[in-house]
Amino acid sequence: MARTNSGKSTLYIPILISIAMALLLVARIYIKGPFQTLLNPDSQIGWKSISDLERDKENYHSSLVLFDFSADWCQPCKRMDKVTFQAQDVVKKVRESFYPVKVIVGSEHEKKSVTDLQTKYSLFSIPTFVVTLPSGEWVYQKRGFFPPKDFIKMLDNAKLKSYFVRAELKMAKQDYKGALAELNPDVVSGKKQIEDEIPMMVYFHILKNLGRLDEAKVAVKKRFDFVYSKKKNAIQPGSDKPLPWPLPFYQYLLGELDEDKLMRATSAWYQKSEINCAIALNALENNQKDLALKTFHKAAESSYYSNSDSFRLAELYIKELEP
Amino acid sequence: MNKPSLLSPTLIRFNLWEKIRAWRVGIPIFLFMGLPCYMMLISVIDSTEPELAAKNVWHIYDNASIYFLLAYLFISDGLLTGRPTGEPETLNLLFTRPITRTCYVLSKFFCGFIGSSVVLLISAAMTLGIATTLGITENPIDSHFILSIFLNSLIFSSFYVCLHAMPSMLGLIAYLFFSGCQTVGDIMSIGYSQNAPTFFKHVKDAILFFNYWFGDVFPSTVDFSLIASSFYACTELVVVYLSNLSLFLFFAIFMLSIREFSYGAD
Repeated sequence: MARTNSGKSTLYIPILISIAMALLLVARIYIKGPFQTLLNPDSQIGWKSISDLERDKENYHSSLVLFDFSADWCQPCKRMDKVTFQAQDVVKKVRESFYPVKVIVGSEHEKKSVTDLQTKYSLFSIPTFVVTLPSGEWVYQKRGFFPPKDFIKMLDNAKLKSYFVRAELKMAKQDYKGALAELNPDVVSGKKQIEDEIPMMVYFHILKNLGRLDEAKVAVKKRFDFVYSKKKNAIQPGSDKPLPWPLPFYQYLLGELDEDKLMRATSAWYQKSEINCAIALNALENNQKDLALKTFHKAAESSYYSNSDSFRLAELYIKELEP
Repeated sequence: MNKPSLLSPTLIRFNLWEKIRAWRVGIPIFLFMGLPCYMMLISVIDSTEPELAAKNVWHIYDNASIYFLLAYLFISDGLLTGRPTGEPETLNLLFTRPITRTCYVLSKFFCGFIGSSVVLLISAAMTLGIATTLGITENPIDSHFILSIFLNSLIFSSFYVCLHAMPSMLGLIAYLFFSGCQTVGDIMSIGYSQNAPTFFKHVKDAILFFNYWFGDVFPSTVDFSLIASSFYACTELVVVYLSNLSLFLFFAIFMLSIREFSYGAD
């Protein structure tokens, strides 16, 4: 028997640990096996199938579509179902503004539609959450497990971004008034700053085409100053090097940088795609349709992932401009 | 009246104090402590979105590798003796004294838990100080954050003490097997072709079987706020956590009990 130097036995400790281990092992096997369905109640989100989406197409004009690409064997997907999709805040948020569609990858049910969606949204891992407009335009995409708080933030971001996507659709048809009306009122009033390059460019061109260039420049300059104040430590005094990204992009919008210098400001493929979009929009405004189309093609080609803001914008214009 | 000793003061003093004083272990521990502060400093200074950059830095405390390496530093004697992969020398020495296997395992486990928790809590306090100085107002330090550090330190210390108690080759095989079972799940989520031949589908099913039943033996970090928000939904998570904890301690004591040690090595 195991004894300490004081002569007392400590054998009860390994015995207790063994009993606890055995009991917990049995509980673990039961929970992962026969009891799994009991611990995984149906979510109140009310997930729909792809065929439901096709059927209800006419009735959800104001909603966004939320696709949850999931699989029977995917552990993070199961955790999403058990934790995140059971949270009341998440249920409320999804039901308020989204049409939720569960896409089971690898199942025989709706196999063709699932494969089409996977290809359309360039899916390469699961779980992936894709937000689209009812008309199918890609808005936002994230993959992996999200706790409830982060998932709600993701839905809020998707909603904010959807304003710009709707505006882009009208802008591509040269309906600039309609495009401005689609934007988030907080952005138009200046209460909320636009954080990404493509949405800033969309806002700039909408205002410019409505004859409000000064106002457009003020918005871009404000963003430039904000980013500059954060990046100024990274700028060497008297250096000939281009400013850190995305400052050259804003300089180009403000007319302070030419196309060649903008192209040399970065080597990243996704930034090249944004640059090509900016150059193409300028060419379009100068009535150089052929050059614009060619440059939009370049922008689409330089998007490694087909799901990006610049790829979507380029595709929209290519559709409009191609004879 | 003498009480049975569950923890060895000599071992605790050695692992928590003598090791920190030795440069071979002390320097890595202080580097671990300072790493998040440094990350916070450089991320926030050169960022257009400092709040977001700061938030990303706080994710260091969810990183399994940090807990695993800290458990290694406080439990293993390898770095101190200059033989990181060999048999622990103090183990042989200690079995010449009247100390039980249970006492040895629990003392090492306790040192790993206390050492990792204290290092990470001090580090979090320093990082908070830097973040506040840089004007970051949104910081995640609350009771849930602290409890998560304790829970993660507990599970990773028990896992490491189990590997430490095994003969080094068996420990390595166990580590590779369980981390492999966990990783195949991620690999499967990348390749999910529906048109694969039947043979490959059977292979996939076998891989997924191992991933399902053994993938969660290799510990991953837990977030206490997730458990607190929905305990019922996290039943499986809690049971797996407790089951792993008891499994690691049981195997650590069991492996130590059946092992033979060469006293001639001392």
